[in-house]
Amino acid sequence: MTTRRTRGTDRAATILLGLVLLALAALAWEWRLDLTGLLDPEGEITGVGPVVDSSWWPWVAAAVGLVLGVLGVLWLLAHLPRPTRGSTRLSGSDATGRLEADHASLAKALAERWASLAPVTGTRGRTTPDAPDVILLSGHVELEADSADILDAAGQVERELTEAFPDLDVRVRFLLEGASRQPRTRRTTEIAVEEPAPAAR
Amino acid sequence: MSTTRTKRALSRPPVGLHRTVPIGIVLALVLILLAVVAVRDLVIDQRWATGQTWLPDLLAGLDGTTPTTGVLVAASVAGVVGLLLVLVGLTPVPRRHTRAPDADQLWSSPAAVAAVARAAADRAPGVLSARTARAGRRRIVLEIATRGDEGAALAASREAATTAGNALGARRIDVRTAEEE
Repeated sequence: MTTRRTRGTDRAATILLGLVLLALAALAWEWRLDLTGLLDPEGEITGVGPVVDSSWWPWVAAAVGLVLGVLGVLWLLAHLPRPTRGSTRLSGSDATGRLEADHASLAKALAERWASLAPVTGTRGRTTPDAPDVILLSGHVELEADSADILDAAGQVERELTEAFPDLDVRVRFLLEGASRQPRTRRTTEIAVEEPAPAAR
Repeated sequence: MSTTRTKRALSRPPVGLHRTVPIGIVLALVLILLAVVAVRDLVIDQRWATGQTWLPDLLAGLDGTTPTTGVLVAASVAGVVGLLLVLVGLTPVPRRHTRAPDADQLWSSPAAVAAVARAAADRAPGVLSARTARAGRRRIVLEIATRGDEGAALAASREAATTAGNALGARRIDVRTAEEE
């Protein structure tokens, strides 16, 4: 899971690239149609050859390329799932000792508790880099689930979490997904009746 | 105490991955590729290795270009791609989950709401079977097969499905009888 910042960069870069492409297209059409008279439709591009053949070109190109490449690597790395802060410092900490809640074990325990209370299957708990103190619990609803059971279970898990962390150091969010694909429980037995094939002569 | 960061995160609805994220990954890879080519050209230009430089030949090919139809076609294609990129970038992040009104942080996907509403409709009197015809964020359509009084079964199942769905934040649930096959 990436951070909001990375996602924002992706979005801005996409819009920017789109605008650049649009501008290039507009420029080409303007060149041909000569609506503003700024570009000569009879003219042609000149002067690129001497520049790229000059002695400084490879150095400048390599330097600019390297800068862009480093940016590219950083940008790419930002998309990797990053280890989030693994624990939350609790309010009960003081000079005599620190109290920390470990996210991984908390998420696992909450996911198991939710699965035992609610009609959900395949529950998982995780945290995101954007909000390390929020445990995201996701699960698939059971086929015959009742909405009251789901609401009661969510309320119960939240209550228990509040009892464990009265200062609301750790919060929980439930994500309920559709029923997961389950192996068929009611198998039908299909019997194919075929007419006997006429004996080959 | 919850930090402001936590509060902010909890005040935002859960969202899916924006379509621009894959585009961003591709762009980052293109930047890296550009760097590799530029450095390779430098190495060859300085005769540290033998080979043919790529970028200078490619760019020198631009000399002598005039606004021909071919150039315009290429530019138009680039323009359409650019327009698509801008539109994709401007569309909001896909939001699928709806919040249950009576719970603080219970978010359900349309499929989950539809499953719960379907189960409720299935249990209504006079209903033989119920299936989900459509599960969207704004509207969920259920189809039921009935026995006996069709109107009563429809009303009962609609009532049950709406109650169950609204508890999970559904906006609108329609129940109709399935077409006879």
